[in-house]
This record gives sequence, structure tokens and C-alpha cells, in this order.
Amino acid sequence: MLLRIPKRHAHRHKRHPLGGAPLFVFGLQKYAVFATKGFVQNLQYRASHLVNSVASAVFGLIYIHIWLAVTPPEGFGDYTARTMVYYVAFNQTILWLTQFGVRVHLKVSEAVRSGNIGSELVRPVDYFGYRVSQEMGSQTYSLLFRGLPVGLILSFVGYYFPARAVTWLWTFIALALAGYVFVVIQYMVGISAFWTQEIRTLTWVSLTLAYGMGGASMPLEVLPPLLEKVARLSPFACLAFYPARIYLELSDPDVIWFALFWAVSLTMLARYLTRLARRVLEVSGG
Amino acid sequence: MNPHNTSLFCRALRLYVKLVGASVRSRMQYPFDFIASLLIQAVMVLYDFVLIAVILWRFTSIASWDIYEVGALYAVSRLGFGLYRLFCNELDRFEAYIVRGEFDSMLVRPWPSLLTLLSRNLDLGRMSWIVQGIGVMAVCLPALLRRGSLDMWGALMLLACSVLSLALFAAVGLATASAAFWIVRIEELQVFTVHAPGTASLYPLDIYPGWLRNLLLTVLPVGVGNYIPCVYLLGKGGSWLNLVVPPVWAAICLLAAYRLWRLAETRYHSTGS
Repeated sequence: MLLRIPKRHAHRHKRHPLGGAPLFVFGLQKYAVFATKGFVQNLQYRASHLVNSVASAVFGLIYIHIWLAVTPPEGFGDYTARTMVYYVAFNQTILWLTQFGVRVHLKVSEAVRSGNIGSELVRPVDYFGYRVSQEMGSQTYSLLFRGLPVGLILSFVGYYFPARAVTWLWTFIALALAGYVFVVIQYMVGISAFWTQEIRTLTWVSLTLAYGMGGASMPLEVLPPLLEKVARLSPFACLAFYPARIYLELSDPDVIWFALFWAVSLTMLARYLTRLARRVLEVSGG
Repeated sequence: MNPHNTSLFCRALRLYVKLVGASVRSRMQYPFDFIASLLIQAVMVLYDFVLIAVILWRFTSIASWDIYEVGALYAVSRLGFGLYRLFCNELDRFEAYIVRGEFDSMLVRPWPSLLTLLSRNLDLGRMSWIVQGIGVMAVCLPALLRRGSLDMWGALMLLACSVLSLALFAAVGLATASAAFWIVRIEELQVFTVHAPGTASLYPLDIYPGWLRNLLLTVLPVGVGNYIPCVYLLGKGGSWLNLVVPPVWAAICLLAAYRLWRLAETRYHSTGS
């Protein structure tokens, strides 16, 4: 549901900084505010997150040494031991953006459990847009304050920096889509609370699939052939595997179309589920 | 041990068993919740196992440790961690006691606060790690026995090592929980001191750089419980000292952690609520 402003209030928009701008732009600006709020809310936890970044870097270090130990001297597929160091270091840097930092499922399910969902749904704003934009702001924080420190620490072991500017651009787009795709997946996990109340099992299933089939800790080529094919076609591959391959210049940026396909498909599905959820909503308590 | 101390220990043990029994009975009031919790944990712990299984399926060995040897190492660490989460789960969520001021209620009981803490919420849902450890051990031990890498005595020693591993996880967990009396928030610290070393100890420590290996054998010694004995028992070097040092080191670490806990308790400030 997009915000429809009644004609009797239309004069107010003339005083808006974007006065004269179409309603569509005004609507997007609103979501930018939600995203900013999501970003700012996290700023107060910077010190605590810094400690966590050290722990994340230690995990990265453990995985790097595991891969150094098992990678044969001639490498496997596109990967040498050095490439594997870069692969793990990059994925450990983006892990909080694309997976661990996402909390939207908890927020939605908590709203359902507490009954606050009733007041949230009657607000004159698209519920899906509100939740997702706020989470994307929070994810931007995760990348800057939780991911980059991990990358900085792991750069002492080894980090790849692409020379071509266009690689950075494609990586940025791939990461934005990766963050978005997982936020939408977790939003749907949260929405399931309208029917089940309890989302813990589904949460762990989605996290395990994202981490295991997303390629965060190992390239998908390592998996058994059938599982590799399934993983490559799943939306989870857009979270870590493809962004890492683009960043390491092992894949063409064409794979971004695949991520875009999943982003659009999952958005449509999530919006459909939101409409269904509105119909089954029961708020108890007074 | 003098008779007075023996009687004190027996009383504490009886009390612990009674409190744990009450905790288990209260958990079993909600059998569906228990089963759901067990299933969630099973899914949650599956990942580490899948990663190690895939690596060994693809590359057959890690630093000259083959699939069964890594399996034995993995199983001992997982059993130790599982027992730690089963019996010392409240240490892992100790931050909540300090943040909400719930530790007050433990100080007014006529027995040591640590005993009260450990006997609360014995979480049987945390048994997934133990089940996983037993499963991996059930596959690896017969294979190691068959090919002569291990004899019966070694197999029993390997099983006993899981208790050592529990003691070392408990020592690190207790020391980390003690830090909460000073810094309050310890959740992130626990990732660094308990969970990351726990993951590292699933693999042969040979693969890590010297400083990390030393860290896992001294300050955060969770690697002492499985790696050091396994090296000797699986014929990869070392001497009988590999079997003597771990229990001595575990006892020293537990004692030091308990002393730290007693000291930290005196720094406790309630929330006043």
C-alpha cells in the first residue's frame, strides 16, 4: 500500500523541500528517512560491535588457516591457496551485511507477539517498505561499523583489492542486492509469525541455508555436484558466492541479473504474503 | 580430604542433584517446547559438521589428519562443549543476570552462588552437541580400532578426554562470566573466548600459526582437552606426558577461574530494582 495523500492535504507538499516533486519521489524520500533511522539507531552500540568485529576476525582467521591447510599446491578450480585467503577474508567482511546483521524477522515476529503489529499495520505507510528500508539502513551500518573493521584486521593476513574501478562498482551493486535479498527472505520468516507465532525453527533453517549454501565459508565448487547445482540456482548464492567472485574478478558481472531476478521475485512473494497476513491478523489483549 | 570437607561436598552434591531434578521436571512440563528446542539446536549445530564433512569429502585429509582422526578430534571437542552447554548453560547467559540484577537472588541463598547458578535451567535441549559427538565417535572409533591406530585402552582414554574438554570449557566460561561483574556486557566477549576457540579446536591445531596455537593451549586452553591427548593416542607424536598434562592443566584452570569468580563476586553491584 503506497501512501495516498488526500487532495485536501495536498497544499502541504508545496512547502516540502521537494515541493513540486511527484508523489512517487516523496514516497521514496520517506523510506530514505526510515533507512537513516535504522542506521542511526545502531550507532550507540559501536563499542560493543567493535569487540564483536575482533571475534569475527578470529573466526575469519580460523577459516583462512583451514583453507590454507587443505588447498592442494596446484589449487582447485579457479582457486589457489592465496585466492582462498582472499575469498574467506572478503566474505567475512560482508557477513554482517548479507547475513548475520539482519534482524527484521525478529522485529516483525516481536510485533506480532506483542500485538503492536495492529498499530503498525494501520499506519499510512507500506508495511513491507517500512520494514525493509529500515533494515537496509541498519545493514549499511553493519557494513561500515561491523564489516570493515573485520576486513581491516584480516588485511594483515591478505586482502585482494581490484585494480579496475568497474569491479568496485559491480561489487557494490552485487552487495546491495545481496543485503536486500536476505532482508526480504528474513522478512518472510518474520511474517510467518502471523500463522505460527514461533519462528525460531524457520530462522535457524534460513540462517543455516544462507551460510551453508550461500558460499560464505567455502566456494560452492567444493560441494558435491548435485548440491552445487542446487546452491548455484538458489537465492542464497547471491549472498556471498557471486559477490565474492565478482570482487575477486573470477566471474563476469552478468550474474548480477540472477541476483536481480531473485530480488524481484522474492519482493513479489513477500508483498503477497504481507497481503495474506493482513487477512489472518488477530490481535489479542487490551 | 578431611571428613568435614567430605561431608560438605556430599551435601553440596545432594543439593545440586535435587535442584537439577527440579529444573528438569519444570522443563518437562512443556514437552513440545522441549522437542522443538532440541530440533532447533540440531539444525543449528549441523553447520559445523557439514563444513568439516564437505572439506574432508573433497580433500580427504587436513594437515595429514585423515577423516577418522579429525572425526575423533571433532567428537571429543563437541562432547566437551555439549556437556558444558548442558551443565553450565547459565554461565553462557550470565550477562542477563547482571544486566537485570537477578544475581541478587543468588546471594541470599545459604549456599554458594555458583552452585545455585549452575543448578538452574539445566537445558536438555542443548544435548544436540552431545548427540552429534556420540554419533561421530560411533563412526570413527570402530574404524580407528579396526586399522590399529587405536587400541581399546586408547579408545577409553579418548572418551575420558571429553570430560577434560568439559572442564576446560567450564574454566574459560567461568572466567568470562566473572568479567561480567566488571564490564557487565560479555556476550561479545564470549564469542571471542568460548565460541571461536571451540570452533578452532574442531580441527588439528597444527594448521594454525604459532601465536594462535599457543593461545588455544594456554590462555584459552580448549585445545588442551582434545588435541594434546589425540596427538599421542593416534600415534602422531608426543609422549605419555600428553596424557598427564591436560588433567593437571584443567585442574589449575578450573581453580584459577573459581578464584576469579570469588573475587569478582565481591565487585557485584545490584541494579537497585
